Amino acid sequence: MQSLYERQVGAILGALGVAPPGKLTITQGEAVRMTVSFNYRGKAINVTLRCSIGTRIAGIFYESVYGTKSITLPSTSDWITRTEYANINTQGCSPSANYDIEAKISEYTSATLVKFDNVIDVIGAPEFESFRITDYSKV
Amino acid sequence: MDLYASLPISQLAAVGKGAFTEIVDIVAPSSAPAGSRVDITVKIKNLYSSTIGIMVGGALEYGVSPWPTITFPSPSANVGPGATYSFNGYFTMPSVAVTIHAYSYYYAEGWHFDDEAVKAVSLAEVFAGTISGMELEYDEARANIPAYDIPQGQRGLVHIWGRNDMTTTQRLGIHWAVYDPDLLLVEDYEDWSLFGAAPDVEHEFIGGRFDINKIGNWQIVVNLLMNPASPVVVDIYDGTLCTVAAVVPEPEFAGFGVNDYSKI
Repeated sequence: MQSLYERQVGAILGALGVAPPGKLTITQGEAVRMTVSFNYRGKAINVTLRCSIGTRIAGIFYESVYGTKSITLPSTSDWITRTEYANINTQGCSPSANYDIEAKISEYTSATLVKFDNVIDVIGAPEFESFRITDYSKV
Repeated sequence: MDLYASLPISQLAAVGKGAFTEIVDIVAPSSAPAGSRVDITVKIKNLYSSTIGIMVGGALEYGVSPWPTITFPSPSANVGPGATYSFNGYFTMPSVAVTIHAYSYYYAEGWHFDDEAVKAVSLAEVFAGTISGMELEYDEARANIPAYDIPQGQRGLVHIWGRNDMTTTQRLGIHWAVYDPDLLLVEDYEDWSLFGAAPDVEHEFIGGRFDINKIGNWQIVVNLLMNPASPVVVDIYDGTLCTVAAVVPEPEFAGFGVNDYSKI
């Protein structure tokens, strides 16, 4: 449950982030922004950041939904630090399920792949049940 | 003074090098390029016992008739007894060797021829050549000089081509100096072609390898030479050899991690 302060800060920043391996609870269909940072050096290249939500079974990651972002990196002999993000539409996730995440630079997977398990909880759309009139009285 | 009349006829006839004057020297270059102005000096001595008027004259012998004359802006002078006077003159060098004929005259109720001397001037070659190509070889690649963005750490090798622009076969020579961005001498190379290059033919000179180990602007000074006996610079390049850029490593990532994830 977010506090008033957290909600105010979140309004200012646009979104409140959960640092891994914290758990983020979302409603199916809400967009998730996954933010990464990394250091880079080398020639100028264009790469793709791929952030995924899925399920890992027996070590194999089954991707359910993902978001990508094209990134242009400059030619540099010195290490530079970059922070980037990708937005993920979770419409394809199943409600009432826990999910794992992965993030990587697609062209350099072996050097960049990171993964966290059981960090996204997806709940279903608002549901009501047992709706009835329990009584009526003067007020 | 009527000098001519004052001398006995026998004395005039006996004169070999001139009765009253003697051409003691013709100062002129031993050779001159075709079309160039050739300056000469004719030194004439007064052999007489008092001052006389002396005049100089000259002509060029090289197969044309009449012989072209040599220009003397001030062809006459009064010269004291025993003195030597220098007459300056000039002519344009034809395309063949010439023989200078210089004459002296003395004045006695008119100018009278008195002495003659000769001097040969050969035709000097005008050396002409061009630096027709310049390349920098590095890591088995080549680029025209000036070359740009050469990766630091390569081994450099300079190739220079010289072309003989003359109508005769000539040996070509080269001298170049390579300086690094700190203006330190890196290579000093000099060589001559073993054989002559025919007209319009190029000769390639290849230097020694050197380390391109500094970032920045490298310089080279190239002199193309001819005439090994007395080298003449016929073309020059003085400028950038190459610019050297820092080596950019292969793409490398480190510290890749997820900072956070959030609803938006």
